[in-house]
Amino acid sequence: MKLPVKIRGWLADRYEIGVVEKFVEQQAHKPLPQETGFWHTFGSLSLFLFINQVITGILLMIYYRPTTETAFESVRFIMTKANFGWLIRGLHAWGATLMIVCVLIHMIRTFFMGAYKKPREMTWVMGVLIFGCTVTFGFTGYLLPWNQLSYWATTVGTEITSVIPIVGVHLRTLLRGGEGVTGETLARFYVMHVVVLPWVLTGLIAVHLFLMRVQGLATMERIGEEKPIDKSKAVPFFPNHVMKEGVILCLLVGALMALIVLFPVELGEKADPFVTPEGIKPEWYFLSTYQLLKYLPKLLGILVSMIPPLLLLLWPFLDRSPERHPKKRPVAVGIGIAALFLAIVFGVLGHISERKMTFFGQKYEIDIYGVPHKHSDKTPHRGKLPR
Amino acid sequence: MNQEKTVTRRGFLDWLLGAGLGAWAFGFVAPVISYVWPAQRRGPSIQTVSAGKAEEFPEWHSKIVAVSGHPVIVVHTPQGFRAFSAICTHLGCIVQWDAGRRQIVCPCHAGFFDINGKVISGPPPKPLPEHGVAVVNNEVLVKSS
Repeated sequence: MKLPVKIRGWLADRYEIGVVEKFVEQQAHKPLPQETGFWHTFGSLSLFLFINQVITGILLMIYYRPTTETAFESVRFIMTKANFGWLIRGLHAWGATLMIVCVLIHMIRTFFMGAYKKPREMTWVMGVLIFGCTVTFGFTGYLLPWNQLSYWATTVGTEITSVIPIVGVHLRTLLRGGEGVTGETLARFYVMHVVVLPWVLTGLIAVHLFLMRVQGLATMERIGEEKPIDKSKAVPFFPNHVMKEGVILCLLVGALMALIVLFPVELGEKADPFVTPEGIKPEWYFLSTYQLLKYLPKLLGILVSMIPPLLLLLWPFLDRSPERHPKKRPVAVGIGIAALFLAIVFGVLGHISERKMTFFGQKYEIDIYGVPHKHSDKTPHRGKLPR
Repeated sequence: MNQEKTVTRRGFLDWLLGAGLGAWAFGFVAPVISYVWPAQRRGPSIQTVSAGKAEEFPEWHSKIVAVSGHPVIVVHTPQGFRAFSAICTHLGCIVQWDAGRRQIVCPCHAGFFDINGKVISGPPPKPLPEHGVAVVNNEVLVKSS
């Protein structure tokens, strides 16, 4: 008798294994709506990347030391001395970026296909919380190498909170563990990054997946007019959809490896609390908010930048139309496209600002607002003349 | 018609139990919140730090020194030494001295301050707080506040 059969027999003698087998069988062969395609694979990809983050994060923790004296050196040790350390850190850093990309694409797909509508409002809310948790992971993880960019990006990022009336300064103190960004901040961010957030995100993902499996995937039919899935036209979860996920997963792993090799994650210089380098910027997913804050007074900027996440969270309760098809939801789709467009425009402005660029042989200095000024050696290097 | 509300013995006991559980939970949560809140460091409120010898400090040159753990920029002007907090009042970056323009510059968002610490241009909302400076026995001493 083969070993797996023996093990199954051993378990069946002791536990109601048939119940578990029936459940797995049902889940594996659950029919999916006809519309289920490649765009539906980004949820699974996000989950795969989360698992990648957990595994590589545990491996990084073996050598990482979260103190101001040792953090930078320990990351340098990982990258230069530990066997395949460069690969583990690359998988973790680029995996984080790709995870945010996948979660974003998954949310965009859900939004434009109207899949957040009744009865799946809470699945959407859990998804938005997962997105929030993912970017918080990025923010807390960014400080851990304790280099100049991470130190000053964290200083600016946490300073922004201080403009919130009444609680702002206290919130900043709580986040930093004191007045400035110090070893206390590093310890707090480390605990958040490796203990609190992983468990919170695991819980959110578990509820999200549970709701998704219980309610099934949304079709394109109007609310209240959904027909039972026609099994002759349905897409079986296994093997059809799983194969699609496998194909996209292979492409993702390829892209991940290519990014690690072609654009290796740099370490830069060790954090110096007394010298701010020029042109510090946050990670790409905060660039649009960062740029927006430059145009507005601090308090107004904070209030305006809180609108998009709040809108995202409450959107299923604001959009009451029964239609799901994007062509029948011009307002919602218009708002969605406008929001994406603004995010990209502000993000690009944030990226090009405070840089020197050459267009058709002419040198330009892009000022903090993203406005190009012709460069000459006589003009101030900041690009904008003071009053 | 309004009926007079009566508190039953069971209702009162439920309320008491709820309040007890709330107090019990608070007893656990309060120390945790207090623990997470940063412990305040206590020490002397005024500290004086040397920025170096006056003769090693040419005119229109600057230096950043740590005073009570905070960076302070000291500038040697023809009228004497001036010292300001080096933390930009916009988003907390460390300012630098631009000797060519004789201005204090924030490298993050192009905030410019004059030699009195006042904002000339850019997003900083407030001037840089000034620190007292004294030259004693040829030593440039900066006070913490």
